[in-house]
Amino acid sequence: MASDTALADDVVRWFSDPGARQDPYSFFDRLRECEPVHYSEPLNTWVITRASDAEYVFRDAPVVRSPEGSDTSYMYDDKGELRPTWRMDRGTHRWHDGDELNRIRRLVSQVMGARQIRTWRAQMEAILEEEVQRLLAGHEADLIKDFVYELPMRMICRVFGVPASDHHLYRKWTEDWFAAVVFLTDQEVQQRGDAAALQFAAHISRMVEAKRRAPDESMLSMLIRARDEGDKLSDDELVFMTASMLGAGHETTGSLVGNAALALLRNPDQMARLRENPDLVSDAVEETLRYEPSPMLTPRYAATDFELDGNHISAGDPLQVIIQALGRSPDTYPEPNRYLIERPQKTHLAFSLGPHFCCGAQLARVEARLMVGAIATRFPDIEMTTDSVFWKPILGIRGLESLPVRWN
Amino acid sequence: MGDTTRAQRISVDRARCIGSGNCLFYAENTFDLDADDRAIIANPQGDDPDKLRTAVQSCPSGALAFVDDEPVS
Repeated sequence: MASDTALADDVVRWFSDPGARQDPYSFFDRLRECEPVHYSEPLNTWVITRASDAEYVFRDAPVVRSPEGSDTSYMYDDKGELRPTWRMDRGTHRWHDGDELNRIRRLVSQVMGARQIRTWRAQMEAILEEEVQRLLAGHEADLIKDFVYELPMRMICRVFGVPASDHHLYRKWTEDWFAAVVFLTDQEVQQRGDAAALQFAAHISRMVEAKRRAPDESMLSMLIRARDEGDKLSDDELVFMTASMLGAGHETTGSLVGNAALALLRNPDQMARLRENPDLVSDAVEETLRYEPSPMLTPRYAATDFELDGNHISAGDPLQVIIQALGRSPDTYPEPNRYLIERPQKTHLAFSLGPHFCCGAQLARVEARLMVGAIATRFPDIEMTTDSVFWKPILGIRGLESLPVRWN
Repeated sequence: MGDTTRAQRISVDRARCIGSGNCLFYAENTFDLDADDRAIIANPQGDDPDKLRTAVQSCPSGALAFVDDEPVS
């Protein structure tokens, strides 16, 4: 059918063309309605856009994150070597399963789990206050360049005991690295990502050496002890996990806060409700995680054959779960395209489910609440200075390029 | 069966729990994490039934379940 061909073409376009990703929600709605479990032949992957299917894939289906047995040629260079971006990413828990995953997950929980972050509250509030005061010294700012990444970045650096003066390097390396670790990238993005991964890893290796000479109570010292004494981490894992936490510790949270700010500024009635009752800030963050989450997609690989919504998935088949599309599923979320912070249903799939549920979810929530609350209540007349916004061109993170605002 | 007034207990499957902390987020007065980062029930009456249901249903690992507070035959 012609319409199916057009839809299949649109799927390829969404994956490959940043322009097609600027406003993708009507495309997601069409795809979800016609083929919620879509097989893309040119991309050689299943594409999942409906919440109920994703929930099953994440939590119950026989899927893994280790792509052994699947086509991973895109991860390798011409000489058959794993590209630096992929070597770094594959060295993190994101690509492990079972006991390997649990071994690293337990370490990460000790670093930034729900129990740990309770003790950080006062530090986070102090950093936030500094950042808010810095903005209040003026009357305009770009929330993306000047605000949303500051708290998560400064906090994760402090926890790791690494210099905050290197912020801008971590930001750049993370963005380039994350842009390149998706299964479809162009040559330029891949090369930039590879260069960033090598520099990031070399930088962290130097910090690890310095910390070995002068150990302290920081999380980096704790991970080094796990490597040197407990043999719970390999050398590569120590470096790659640190990069992963420094990177994921700010990129996704910062982007989410930008998405929340945009949604609130574009829905003044919702902003007004939040200002009337600042206790709704947690609900505003959760609604943003449903409506405009920062992670766009996550892969899984079929470990054995299984059926999904009448489709036969074969062992080794890749599945791309489009997290960005899930929250707009009408059979799970009534009126899904409206941003309503007082929505009775508080659950969503932005952090996924199952063994790979986001390790930083609770940290992200606390930081996002603080920042979104500050934007709403400390800047009572904040407004956008332009109606048009541009989203980052990368496939992987849904976040704004900039969000210029002013206030009196 | 179907008697919604019957007291229900929440069970935690420690082997499945991944310590996500998600139950604390949805029902902070009921759940806590122990020193091994596994969920424990600190106060069975800590939160209202809606919050408890959300916490159980949204457990990432499926480690939480409602069980009838009766011996299972």
